[in-house]
Amino acid sequence: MNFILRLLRKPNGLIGALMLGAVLLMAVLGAVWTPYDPLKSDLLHRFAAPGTAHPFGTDMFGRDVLSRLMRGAWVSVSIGFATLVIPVLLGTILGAAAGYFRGWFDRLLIMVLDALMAFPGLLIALGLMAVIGANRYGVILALSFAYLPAVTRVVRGSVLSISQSEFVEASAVMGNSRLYTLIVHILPNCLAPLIVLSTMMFGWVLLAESALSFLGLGVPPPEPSWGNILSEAKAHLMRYPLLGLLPGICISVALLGVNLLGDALRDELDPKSASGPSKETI
Amino acid sequence: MKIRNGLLGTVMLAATLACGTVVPALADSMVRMALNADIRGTNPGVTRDGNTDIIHGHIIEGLVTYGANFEIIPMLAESYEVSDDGLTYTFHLRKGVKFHNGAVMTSKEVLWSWNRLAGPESESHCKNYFNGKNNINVVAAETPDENTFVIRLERPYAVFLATIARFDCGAMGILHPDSVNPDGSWNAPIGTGPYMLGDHLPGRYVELKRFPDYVSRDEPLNGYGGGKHAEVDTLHFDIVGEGAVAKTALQAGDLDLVQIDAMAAAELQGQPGFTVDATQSAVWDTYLLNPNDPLLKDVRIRQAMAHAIDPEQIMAAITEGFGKASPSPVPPMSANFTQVEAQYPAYDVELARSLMQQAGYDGEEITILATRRNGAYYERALMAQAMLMDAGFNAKLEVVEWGTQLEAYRKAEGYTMQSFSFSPRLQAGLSFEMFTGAATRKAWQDPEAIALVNESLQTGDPARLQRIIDELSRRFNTEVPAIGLGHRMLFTGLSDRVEGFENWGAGMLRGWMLRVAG
Amino acid sequence: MFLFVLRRIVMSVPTLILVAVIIFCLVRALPGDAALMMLGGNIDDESTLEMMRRQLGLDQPLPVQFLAWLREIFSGNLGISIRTGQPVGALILDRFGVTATVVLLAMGTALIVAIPAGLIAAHRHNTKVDYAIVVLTILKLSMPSFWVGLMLLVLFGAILGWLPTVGFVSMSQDFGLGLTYLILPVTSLALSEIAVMTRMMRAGSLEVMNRDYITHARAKGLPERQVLWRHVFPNAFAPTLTMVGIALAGLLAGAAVTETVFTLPGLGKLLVDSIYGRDYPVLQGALLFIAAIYVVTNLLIDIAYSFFDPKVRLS
Repeated sequence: MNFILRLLRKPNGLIGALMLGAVLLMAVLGAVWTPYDPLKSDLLHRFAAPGTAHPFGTDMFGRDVLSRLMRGAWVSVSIGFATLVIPVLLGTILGAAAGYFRGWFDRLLIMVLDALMAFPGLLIALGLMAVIGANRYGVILALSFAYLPAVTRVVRGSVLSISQSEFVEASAVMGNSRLYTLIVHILPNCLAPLIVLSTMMFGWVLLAESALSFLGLGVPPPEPSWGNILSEAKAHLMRYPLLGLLPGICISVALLGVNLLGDALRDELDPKSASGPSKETI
Repeated sequence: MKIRNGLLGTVMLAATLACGTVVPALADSMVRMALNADIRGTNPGVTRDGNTDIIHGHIIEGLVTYGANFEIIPMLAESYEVSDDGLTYTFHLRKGVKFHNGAVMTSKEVLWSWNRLAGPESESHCKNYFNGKNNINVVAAETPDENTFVIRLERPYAVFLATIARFDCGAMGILHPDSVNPDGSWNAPIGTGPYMLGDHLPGRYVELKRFPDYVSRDEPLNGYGGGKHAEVDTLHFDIVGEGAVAKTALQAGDLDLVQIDAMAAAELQGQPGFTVDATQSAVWDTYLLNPNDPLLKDVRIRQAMAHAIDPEQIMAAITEGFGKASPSPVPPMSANFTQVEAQYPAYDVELARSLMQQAGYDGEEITILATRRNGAYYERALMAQAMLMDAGFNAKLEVVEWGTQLEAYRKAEGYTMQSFSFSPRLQAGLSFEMFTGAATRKAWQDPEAIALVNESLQTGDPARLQRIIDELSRRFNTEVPAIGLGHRMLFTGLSDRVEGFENWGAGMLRGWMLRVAG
Repeated sequence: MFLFVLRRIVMSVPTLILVAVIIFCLVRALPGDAALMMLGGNIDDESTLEMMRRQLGLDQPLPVQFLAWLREIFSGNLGISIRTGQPVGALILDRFGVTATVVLLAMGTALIVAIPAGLIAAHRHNTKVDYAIVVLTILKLSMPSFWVGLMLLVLFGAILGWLPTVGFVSMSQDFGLGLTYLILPVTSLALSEIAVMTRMMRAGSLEVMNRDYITHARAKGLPERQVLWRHVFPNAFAPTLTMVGIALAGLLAGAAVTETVFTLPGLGKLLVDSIYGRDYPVLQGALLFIAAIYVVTNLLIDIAYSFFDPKVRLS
């Protein structure tokens, strides 16, 4: 509790939390209620200007833009959270095992991670989506694999450095098993960098999802995500710039929240870490 | 705009000089156009695709070709005769036709060219049209004299001439044997067409040079045949992958003639210095229904879907008001398109609902497959989905990549309905054949319909053909194997520099019509 | 030292081979059939389809195709494009030239702006100038660069009409015209890099400024400007330089989204187009090229690190 209070007392922590909170609220609302059906097209009212009926107007199929942005928030944010699960769990296990047991397992893992990191997330995404089918689960799984190496490396690094410390050696001297030492003494100390990394990763995923969708490789339409709303608007941008302006603002606000909160978190939890704020990886 | 043209022309000239190519004389005229992808090769009927066929079509000619209403007309043949039993085709060759190397065409080259594509050693897919694997089995190709070429078939087949004239086989185009190297490998096309292959810088541009000794037919121009009086010295095709880039280049004066989409046409229309040509093509935009889907086994469901969808509204939206509905698979410009072919299931949501009720429809999911691709596949699917939902269908849209959709099409699985398009079939029987038959991918697998289609491909009697096509059209509307939408509008943006352009139903560019103004 | 470098180079070979295997499997696992797509769905009979597969060499068993591809890799021309019949190696180099032009211009611009900005922010730590720079960079970092690119296009291309909106003219063909086509893509890429580099530079400088030798230099009475340029800058720039290396590799490999926004015929665009067109040789070649850029960059960074930090050599 103290920790959260300290976080919110920092200006960047407070502003970041507020912005992220607003985005989460929009997402949750978008999941249960939107002013119009975000998928319902109305060919007689295409490209309607903003007005009382449609606060942000309608798009090329006459769909309500506000409703699509709200549902898009839900789709994008839920993908962001879902994508954290696999890399964090699997990455922690792999990284901890590699960092603690070293030897051939470590070397093999590093080689595979190097090979994986040599790919643009784009192709991993497409390849996996080919197997799973082009839907949001494809995006989640694809991005999960794209970010798995990052988590694994961070955890491995932390484990490596903590293993050298005296209390770990003490634990061994006391006759504790290696597994016990790893779980009870080493992993809890990896939590801080992991929390910071997860916050940043949430931002990366939002960005990557929008970039993938923009290329037509992400969440397939008609289901809205911020990325594919922007992608669909591209062809009409010269005549209807608002259609592209709004989803971009949504993405930017969410990312700004993540970046500000992430900075504050890092200062609090892991002042030594130097990992920068979110940046596109595609 | 004109001034800018001049300036860029100078720049281009300088660029040509820098490349060390032949310097065109000042009087040389050039029209600059765009291809959306590079040509696949220079070997007609072998290294080809839709784009490449356009280039090849300027270089080579066949014995026969398609007229404006898709009738078969002679091209390099002066005339031809079909024997009463429909087995022997005799082509009387035109005299004095010259190849690009100056040689005069005789039956010797015609036979050589025939064997090149249709012979057992051929590397072309075209040989499968004539070797008995499909409907046609050519048992002999003979040259009784220098100006006569004879083909004998095993069984009569009315669409034989139309098959020869296919664009994807370069109309079984006549080439001089020097087109290949002494070792038999391909060198370069030496044809009889009004243009010769010029510079080709892979990935950048392709050029066609006017063939000054071209011997034209005397008739007026007709479709892809008739008289060809080329005037423009150089047809320059820049490879421009993006439609939006090509349109911008047109507006900037860097290109003279560009294929554009409906949005661009609406934007460009009325702008000074440009004209927009909108022509209905024989490309059929349709919704294919999956023949294996259990829900669609009930004809009432298919009829309900047809009545729930309004082709008129959808065509108007995807063509920005330029186009209108023509749901029959037979294109409106076909000689076989009559009052019967103009009929289609009316847009009637009440009727659709009552049909659904009779069939006991209970919210079963209808998956509409589509892809984001030129040709408004996605837009068409989305609008159909909205209309089906209005009628009470539980329609879901699934957007996949084009490659994935083609696999689904070939295997007829993973969809209830999909937006699809067929390239022009220039014979009414083939317009039905393209989606009718026993193969898995075909939407219409009704044996009676297949029998009718086969009959239409064999009969040589025009009246009988019309009766069969009419019968097929009526059955198509009641059995609803697919829901037709219309025949695609082709839009061409032209700068005022260019005159004489006309598009036609097959959509194949005819560069020999073009003139440079002023 | 030499042994370490040699070992790292040898170690990257299995990585590259693994990469090649992964690429091949991934590409061939894509749904869809290149031959079917070449025919555009207009299949008149199955024999036509088989013929097309044979023409494209797709009728061979996959291991045979893989070996054929390996042979092509070692011969250096990486095969022939299915779509256009061009040699893939030449195609990639051609497209890479476009990407490299844009990326290097963007990175150069970014460094020119970011280095002074970062130094000034650190020098004026906790003043209004510092806050302004920090807020601006974090604002920019929160905007997707492709979206910024799109908005620049709408503003300068459509509303103001100052710059061409789409397309590309090679600067070797027409320098002035070529430059106008590059302004927007370079700007949109440079903006994000400026944000990243400024932050790196600022953080690095702050750390250096607290060190004894800087205090010592100041104590000696050196002018502040000289302290910044002679002592702070070189020491703070080292970590930024690493970042430049990583960012360059990333950008060269795939400015796919930016290239798509501005329809630039670069490597990323080639990659996306070949995915959609199922042009297997181009797709495989482009991916291998991109992967090689990453592997080589990592190698160079590792080697560079080993010069500074002997511990790395031992691990």
